[in-house]
Amino acid sequence: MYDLDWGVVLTHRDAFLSGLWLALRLAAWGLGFGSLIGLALAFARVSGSRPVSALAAAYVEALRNVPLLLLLFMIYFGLPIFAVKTFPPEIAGKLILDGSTSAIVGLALYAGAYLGEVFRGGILAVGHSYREAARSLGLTGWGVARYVTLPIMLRTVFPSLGNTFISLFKDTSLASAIAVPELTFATRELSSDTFRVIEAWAAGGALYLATSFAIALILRAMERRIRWSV
Amino acid sequence: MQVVWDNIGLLLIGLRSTLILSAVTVVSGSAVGLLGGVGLLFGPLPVRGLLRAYVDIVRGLPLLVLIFFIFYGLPAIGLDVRGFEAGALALSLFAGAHVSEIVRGGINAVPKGQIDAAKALGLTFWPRLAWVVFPQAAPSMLPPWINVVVEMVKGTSLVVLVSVNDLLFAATKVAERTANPMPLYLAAAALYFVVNFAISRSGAWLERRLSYG
Amino acid sequence: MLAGADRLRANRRRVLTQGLVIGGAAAVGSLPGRALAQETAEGRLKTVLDRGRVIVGTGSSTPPWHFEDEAGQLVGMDVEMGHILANGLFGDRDKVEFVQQAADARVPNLMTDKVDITIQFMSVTVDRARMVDFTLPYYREALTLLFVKDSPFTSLADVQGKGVKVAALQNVYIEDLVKEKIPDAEVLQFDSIANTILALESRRVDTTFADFSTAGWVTAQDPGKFKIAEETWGNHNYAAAVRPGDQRWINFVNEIFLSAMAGLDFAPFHDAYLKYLGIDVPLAPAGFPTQFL
Repeated sequence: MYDLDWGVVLTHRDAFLSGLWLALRLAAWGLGFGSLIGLALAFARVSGSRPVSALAAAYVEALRNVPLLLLLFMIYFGLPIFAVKTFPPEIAGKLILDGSTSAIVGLALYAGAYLGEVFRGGILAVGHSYREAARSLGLTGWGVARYVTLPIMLRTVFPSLGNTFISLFKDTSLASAIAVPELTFATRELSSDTFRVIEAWAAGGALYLATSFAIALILRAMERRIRWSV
Repeated sequence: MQVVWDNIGLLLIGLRSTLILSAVTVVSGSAVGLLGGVGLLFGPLPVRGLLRAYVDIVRGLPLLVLIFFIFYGLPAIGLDVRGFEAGALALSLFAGAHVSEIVRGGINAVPKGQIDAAKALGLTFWPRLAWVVFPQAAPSMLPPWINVVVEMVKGTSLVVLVSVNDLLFAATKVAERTANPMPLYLAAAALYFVVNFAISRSGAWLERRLSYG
Repeated sequence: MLAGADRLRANRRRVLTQGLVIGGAAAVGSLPGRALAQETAEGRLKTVLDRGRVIVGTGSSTPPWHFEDEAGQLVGMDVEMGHILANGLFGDRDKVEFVQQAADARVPNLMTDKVDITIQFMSVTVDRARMVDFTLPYYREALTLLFVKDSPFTSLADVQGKGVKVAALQNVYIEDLVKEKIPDAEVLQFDSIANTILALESRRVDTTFADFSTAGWVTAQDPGKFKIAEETWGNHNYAAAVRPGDQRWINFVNEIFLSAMAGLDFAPFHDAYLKYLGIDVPLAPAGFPTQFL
């Protein structure tokens, strides 16, 4: 039978931990930029301008219906090829993002499509009366959005943001396919270098699990604190 | 793009494998999820505990990790699964866990009074579930279930990393023959889009039908 | 060298053999005597001739050796060797059945008589020669580097000591294999040959580490895009393999191969070599039989 040897996991813990840390950073940046994209999409969807809204809807459909792995390939491989063909070398060189940056761009574009819908729901959930009240106080369009719609909306969408962060954290595993040394990459390397397959994947899996649970717990605690008091 | 048209037949054969793998996954995952969801709510304590562990563990893992774990792990304990089987197993387990939660939530959302009324009519557990609870839970379960279906079709693209002959693998093979991968990846993305867009549109249509009915 | 996606399976098989010792080598030891007895009485050659077609084990996804063309037909240099064999046996190049097998099934499928012969870019090694009988070699594989056409680099020497990035197909030994020649390289491993090519095309790496045959194929597809390094290393032979112990069968296969590579059946071999490997092989000259050197 297969003899388990957990020692290899301990001797490789640095690779695991730096992989985990990188995965968390990728997910965090992805969530940050993804939220900006999502907000822009959400306001575009409710803007009342038909072409703007249609464009935003098309973005959401396109991104939600294509595998993330292919999206990462396009950013990591496709973008530089396009850049090299289109721009002079000095500019093209700057457009070649490294693996981690490519992963963040991919995750952000992807998360943006989901968050756009979440934020749209959030905006629509902010009662008409709040906006009316804000306008009567003399706030203009941007002011209403900045001081009234956004703060109220963020409280309602907070749980979805948290879930998106956990999803993104798990999605970072795909970055291993574009040579980013995150947690799955580290696990795979240990597994193929030492042939300790079960130990490597059990340890990598446990790290993903424990981290997602920990994030979920923290988020639930935060949710209780900011539960809305308006 | 010429390279895509020259090889469209091979891409479509790959697409067929992807659709078959997706169908297998969705059917078996939904079956697992149906039992899992019911078990989570009504099973005896040890069953509930085991199912909760299954659902939470699988939902807490990246699909890719699950696929690798099964593809590399099962052979290490002496079971020689091929890529397709490993992929189908991992995807089904993944879908099963997510559908379990959907079913649990759907059943939970059915008003308690409905169940009491069915009890009063003398319906036993399974008929009660099948004829009273489930039809009422279905409309609320449909949208998240459609999401799972789309996620599974997209998820099948990951099996390319364990050399299963799916759409992305077909594209990769042509790419290696022609030494021109990018147009083929774009074509694969377009095919995934068409399939998933069709699924989510039909889902939305079904949703509207159900909500009027 | 194992090439293509088959390498992934081979890695997995390593896991099996190291963890459990149930790989190909173990299978040899536990062979049932039945099949072997039948072989000595009748011989594989008679079995094949009686059957009316030869069963060839090969792969399906590694150009230029065995791959599907636009029509989904299995083609490539290994596949052509199968057709050449059928022609020698039956005078009909189509009396061949290809069994598509993963690289790690090459030896086991021979041992269990699933195939009459394996023609699947098989590197001749002494370890393997303990398990199978190799035919005459039909190719010399090697390792080399691929560059984009406008790269300032043209040779291995150019990239040594410059801290270059090197793309390679994911493999347990690949890092060591690259660093043996380019000690200061940063190795980026990818899942498919397609992505190692893309890594080069997208300027993410300075060079891609590849088999000579793969590099030749890639360059031939788009000569304006890629070029091959001047030198090769790790040169070694590819040969077909048969189950050991049937001298008549291997002799016959060798005669067919020899006739194709250096004799009266040279034309189809020559054309396939040019088509798949880009090499215009000259017919061995008259006089002393140099093909034996």
